[in-house]
Formats: sequence, structure tokens, C-alpha cells
Amino acid sequence: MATARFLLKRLLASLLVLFGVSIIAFSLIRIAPGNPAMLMLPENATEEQIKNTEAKMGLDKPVVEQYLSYMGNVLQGDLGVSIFYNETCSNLIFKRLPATAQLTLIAVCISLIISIPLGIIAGIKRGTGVDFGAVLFALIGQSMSQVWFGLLLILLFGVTLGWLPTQGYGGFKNILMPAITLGLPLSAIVVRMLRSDMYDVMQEDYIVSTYAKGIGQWEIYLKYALKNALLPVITVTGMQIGQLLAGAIIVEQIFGWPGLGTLTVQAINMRDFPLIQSILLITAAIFVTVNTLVDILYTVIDPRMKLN
Amino acid sequence: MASLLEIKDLAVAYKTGHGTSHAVNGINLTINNGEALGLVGETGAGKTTIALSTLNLLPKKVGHIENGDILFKGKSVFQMNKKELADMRGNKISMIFQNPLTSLNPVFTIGEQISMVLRKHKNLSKKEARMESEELLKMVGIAKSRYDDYPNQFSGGMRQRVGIAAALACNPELLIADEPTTALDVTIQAQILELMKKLQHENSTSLLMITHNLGIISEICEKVAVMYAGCIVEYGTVKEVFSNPKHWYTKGLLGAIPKLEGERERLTAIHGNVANAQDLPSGCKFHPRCDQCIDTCKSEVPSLIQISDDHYAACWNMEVNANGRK
Repeated sequence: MATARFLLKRLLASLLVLFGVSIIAFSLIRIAPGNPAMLMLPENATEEQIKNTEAKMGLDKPVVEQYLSYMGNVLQGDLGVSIFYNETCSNLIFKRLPATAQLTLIAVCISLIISIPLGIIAGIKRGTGVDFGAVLFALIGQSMSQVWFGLLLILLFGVTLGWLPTQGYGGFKNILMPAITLGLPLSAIVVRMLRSDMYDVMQEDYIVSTYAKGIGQWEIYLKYALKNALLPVITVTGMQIGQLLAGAIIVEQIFGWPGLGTLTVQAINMRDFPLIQSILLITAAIFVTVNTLVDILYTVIDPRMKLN
Repeated sequence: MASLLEIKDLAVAYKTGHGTSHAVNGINLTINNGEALGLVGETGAGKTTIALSTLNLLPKKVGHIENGDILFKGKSVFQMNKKELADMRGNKISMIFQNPLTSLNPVFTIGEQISMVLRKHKNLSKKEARMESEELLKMVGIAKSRYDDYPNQFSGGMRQRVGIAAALACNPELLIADEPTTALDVTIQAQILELMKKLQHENSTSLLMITHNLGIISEICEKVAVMYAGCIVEYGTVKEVFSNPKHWYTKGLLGAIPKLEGERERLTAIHGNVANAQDLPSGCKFHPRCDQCIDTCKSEVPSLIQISDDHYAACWNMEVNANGRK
């Protein structure tokens, strides 16, 4: 019952957010310079030809009218037709989405596999060499640009060592470098948070009282302390999903990954208004959904949290 | 009676970046089988340090055993390996913590926090541990249907009863209760004390009751040790110490309690503050606050002197009468 009410509330709030996103996306694209009609026509096109093309695309109508007709279609499940590809936006997006989803998911997995153990060890072995290494890793990971890091990876593993392919979509070898690049900032944040949370939790009374019950050290670390220390990490990971989707735009470009990111860049370059709007809307919807899921997951792990 | 726990010349210091705190400075204590010993003193007297040292649970890198030893059944707890320690903690010696609001893990059910002790020490399966834990909950007056509830769903008093249930789960030989009622309101305090008294008698558990509440001591304990600044200043049977206090600190503590019967007297207060463990006074640690301080007190540390069969005090100037005249 409580869950149903929570979901309903969240659904309404999400719709409100998406409505806001649609307005912002719509107006931003139109404020930005560049005319899709001009880009579609040859350079020596006449004024009249441009006018005609604009009329065909509906760009000659007032902006408010354009928005209302666009939203009317969106509410009926029609995201419109891409100007450049001449294909429905939903088709284009859902063809590219799996590649990005795959990349993001693997990026999250790799970065958590690295950062959770590192954060735990740094937290319990504070002040040791491992801890210093972890802090250094977090510092570099958070401050290094993904573009630069991606290029360094390509240079080392792709060019010098020749172990991994530098471009393209395909098997595990292809996804490794882009996923590591994409997940780097997330792993840095998780290491930093888990390190301090683990340290703080180990100072808590309830950990001393667990020791006083004769429970072994590692059981305390990995069970009784970790569950507490992981709570903020879950929140942050959820919020970082937005960051990852944004990062995918850059990382996909570097590694020639045929996902949503590449599509976004192409759409922006071509001033493909309907496609840009649709991508932003879908991405926002994914972000909102993931955050709702994280909130639900949170209440499962932390009994103090109630859904409301 | 055989001695169960022997604390010998124990001195503990906490070393941090800000300096060294001498929390415990040469303590000798013995607890016999089935005996209940009270340890009283102000906040910062080193009571909790003694409790944690007994379980070898001082904070790593910060808490240092400077001198002395603690023997449990003749074996030093500081010499025990990890396995022996784990086997002792929660099983042979268990502890009830001061603050029930922080000593239970917020993300595990209270049932889990009791049954983990049983699974660890009695090698019970999950199901057996659950059944036994439910019995323990019933014993401390909590419905067994609440096994799957989390600490935040309980009041402070109930959480402390959960702590007690977990501490008693394995029938420990020694129970250390570190101010078990300080965080609770008075009506709940009475319930908890009643419960502890009953359980202690039923299971003939030895008890180390740490508190700054003299009423609790006289209620539950046979013997009492009064601590000041990491030293024992007076020790003896509760009856003897409370009716015939010798050390000026003990007299001060007792003088600060209002009487219910007889003529009303003005309450006396001990002036000044607790000695700073980072900068302890020379001689008797209590001398800067003592009205009866003489020259010897300032330079030389008094040792415990036997007054009667079961009564010791450490004071250079205890022969004066209450009016302060010799």
C-alpha cells in the first residue's frame, strides 16, 4: 500500500520533471544559432528554397504553436521524425539505446568491482600504503578529464601494447576501454565515500558492541559495518547515472561506440530539432526512473527509511 | 571463593595527537565467582576504560596498556590470541553498553543481533538461534513477534533490554554492565535494575556494575570500588563503605545525595572539576579539590590502607572527623 502510494507520487513528480525538461530542451535548441533548413540544402540555395523547406518542417510557425503540436504528438507516443535521417526518432533512439545501456552497465560494474574493495580496505587500513594509494586513485580519477584518460588508454593498450581494439562496437575487448573510461569518475567518488564511511562506521558504538559479542574481524567488516557504509554509496551511484549518461556522449565519441551519445552529437551537429528533443526527453526519463529505483532499493536496505 | 577476574596494577593511557591521557593509573581489583562489584566515579574516572580493557577492546593505536595485567580465570586477556579472545567475548564475559541508542546496529533486526551471539558461540543453526533468541526476548519482557523489527522501532528502555538479552544469551560467567541505565529515564531504570538483579541471581553470574549512581550500587552490589582519576580511592563492602566512608571523595559523593529520612541537612558539593587526565596533579589526585588536604597529599601518592576486614581507603588524612578538626 505504502509502496503503491509512493510510486504514484513519484510518477506524478517524474511527469512534472519531464514536462520541465521538454520545455527547456525545446527552447534551448531554438535559442541556439543554426538553421536546419539551411544545413539540409546546398550552400547556394536561394532564400525562397530555404523558406519552402522551413515551411515543410513547420519551422515557420510561432514557437509556442510548434511546442504545442510537438507535445501533442509526444503525449500520443509520437516523438516525431528526424529531419536528417528521415526516420522516426523513437526508432533511431531505441536502435542506439542498447549499446549505451550496455556500456553504462558495464562501466558501473567495473567501477564498483574496483572501488568497493579498495574503499573498504582503505577505510579499515587508514594511514597505510593501501590507503594512500586509494586516496591518490580517487584524486586522479576525480580530477582527470575523461577525454584525456581515454586517449591515454588508447595510447597504452591500443597503440603501444596492441592488446585492445581502439575503435568500434563488438565483444568484450571492445567494451573494456570505453567502460573503464566512463566509470572512472564514479569509481573515484565511491572509493572516497566508502573509505570515509567505513572508517566512521568502524568507530561506532555498535561495532564495539559487536566485537564484544566475539564476532570475528572480517565478519564485522564485510557484514555488520559494510551494510551501514554502503548506504551513501548507493545514493551516490544512483545520482551518478545522470553523469554517466552525459559522460557517454564524450566516451562514445572517443571510442567510436555507436550508442546514444554518438547519435546526440550527430543530431546537434545537424540541428536535428526533433531528434535532439527526443533524446533529451528519453534520457531524462531514464534518469528519473533509475533514481526512483535507487530510492526503493534504499528502503529495502535501510529499515529507518520509509517510502514517502 | 575463587577469583574469576583479577585486575593487577593496570595502567592505561590514550595517546593521540593532542597528548597523552592517563585514564587508568594502577588499579587492582578482584571479582570472585558469583560476586557483584560496583565501580563508581565521576565521568572520566576511567570506569569504561577498565571495562573495555577487560575485553581487550581498547581502541587500536590510541589505547595503550602501560602497565599491569588482567587475568580471567588465571589467563591474561592481553596474551590471548584472536581465537581465544573471540571465544571469551560475548560468551564467558559479556558487556552491556552505556548507550542503548547507539550500541545496536541500525540496519540489522534486533533478533539478528541477539542470535548472532548464539550462532557464534553455541554453533546453533539459524532456526535454533531464532528460537532461543525469542526465548531471551520473552525473558526480558519483549514479545517474540518483534524478532524481525529494527532498533529504530523500539524505545530506549526496550533497546537496552535487547542489549541485556544479547549479553545474557550465552550465560556468561562475568557480566560487565557499563552504566546500563544512564541513558534511560527513572521508571525504566527501575525495571532494568530489577531485571538485572533477578537474572544475576538466577544464573549466579558475576557482575561488574559500572555507574556513577550510588543508589544502583547499594541496590545490586556486595562490594564497591570508588574511583577517582584512574585510581581506586576506596574499596570495601557496600555496607561498610556507604555507612562509614573514609576517603574525602567518597564522603563528598555521599554528602551530595539528599536524605529521605531524619533531619534535613544542607547538601555538600565537591568543588572544582574532575582532574584532567592529560595533566594529572602530583600526589593524591584528589588533593586540589579536597578540603582536608595536607602537605603530604600534594607530593606523595597514598596507597590503599586496610581499615577493617573488608574496607580499604587511600588517603593521607582520613583520621580527622567530619568537622575537619583532629
